[in-house]
Amino acid sequence: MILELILVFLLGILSGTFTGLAPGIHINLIAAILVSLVSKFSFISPLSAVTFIVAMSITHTFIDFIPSIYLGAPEEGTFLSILPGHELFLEGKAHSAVVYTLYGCLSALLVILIFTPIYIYILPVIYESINNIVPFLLIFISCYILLREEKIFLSFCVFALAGALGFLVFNNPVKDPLLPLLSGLFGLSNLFISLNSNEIKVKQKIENFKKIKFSLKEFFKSIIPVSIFTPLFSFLPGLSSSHSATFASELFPQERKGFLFTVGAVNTIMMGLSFVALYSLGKTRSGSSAAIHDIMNTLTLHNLFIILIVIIISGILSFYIGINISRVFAKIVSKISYKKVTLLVIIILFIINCIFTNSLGILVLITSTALGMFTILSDTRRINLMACLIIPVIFYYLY
Amino acid sequence: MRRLSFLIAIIGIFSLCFYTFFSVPLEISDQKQIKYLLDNQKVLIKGKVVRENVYEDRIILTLNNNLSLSCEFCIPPYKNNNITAIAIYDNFYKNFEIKELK
Repeated sequence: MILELILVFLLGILSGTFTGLAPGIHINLIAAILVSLVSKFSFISPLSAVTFIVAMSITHTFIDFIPSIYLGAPEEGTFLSILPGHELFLEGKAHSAVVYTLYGCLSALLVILIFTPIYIYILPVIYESINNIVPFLLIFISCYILLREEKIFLSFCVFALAGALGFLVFNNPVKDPLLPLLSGLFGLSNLFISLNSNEIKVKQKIENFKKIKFSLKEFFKSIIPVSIFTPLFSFLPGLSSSHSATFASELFPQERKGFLFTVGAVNTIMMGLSFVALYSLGKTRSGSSAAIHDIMNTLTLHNLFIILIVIIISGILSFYIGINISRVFAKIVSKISYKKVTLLVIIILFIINCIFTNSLGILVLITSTALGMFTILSDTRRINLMACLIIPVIFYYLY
Repeated sequence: MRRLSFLIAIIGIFSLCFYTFFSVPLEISDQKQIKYLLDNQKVLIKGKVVRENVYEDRIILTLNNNLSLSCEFCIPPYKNNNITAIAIYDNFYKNFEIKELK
């Protein structure tokens, strides 16, 4: 049994590395495939499947910043890293940018451990009362983000259009609706704009790991707001890691490396705490926790203990895997044609969508790509596009 | 490029709106067809009501072809009546939510 768990754990890390590096292939997709396999093949034990999903999901949160920073191909949780990441890329410091996000991811493991008892003993008590005000909290958070914009009218247009698109997508027979919706809004849109811009080749410096410093003062300046907002946001439906990172960095302004650290930490905390929330509330807050819920209807404390061990070990291993992959990327990125890579990624994303979604999904992909491009070209923040999830959730709670 | 992307987004959203309201429902007649349905699929169901369960906020109609329909606005009784309904398939509960009933 232990040997089987170690094997699936390693396979999970391998899969998480693959999903993290391959733009468009989300962990939810692999988790969904695994859920269908578990129901068909009885030799796959539920605990092995859960170990695989947890190891894959945590590794994914560590690795998926690498294509975001080097190729500008983000997913919904990493698009915030593009701007500071690209600035450092242009300075030849993309490797340092990746390391700062990895520092954040690694520190997130500590936050997950600290908040686990709070999630287990306090969250179930306060959840019912918070649940009643979820739509109003979402409206408040959306208004706050909109009013902080410089171009309020344009941002409101983007927010309204994304909300309408999300509402229509979740009320029509779109196969795997999140795939075309999110890969269009956050992936393809950015890639098309990159394709249209001038090719920049910057030789990347691979600084020694010990020279990429992050002082204790910077650490606390980043980790405190992350610890305040992320555990709170991670059990509210419709809110993503980008909302938490935006709140944390706006209320406690940070420099570029602090921001990258924040984005990295938030992503991993959200993922880790979604498993704890599944145990304490029985609610699914991520695609991975939904897959675990499908495999094991209820988690025991023993299961949660194993999940926490998997989170910690896979996190530490992923940190070193991430650093080494980033080194390889830094060596080869200046030698390859950025436009060719971008075009290749666009083709891969389109093929993946053609395989996994239907004709209505392709219409969603085209629409969401256009809306994502409009948002970038209008100089409004892409967090407003998350209305595609927030508006349907608000409607669900109110009606 | 900005205007073009805005235009495409608007056309796409209106196309989805159009699909929502004017798509032709898929006619289904037995349980076996359910596995081919997608969540939120609009369907046309005909049959005779053999069972009627009335709850506080909805009624559940079971037809002679074993299909179950859920309705919030329907006023019973429907038992032994032949009905034609346009409904939306809910993959989570594996049932149909009636939108129009004749």
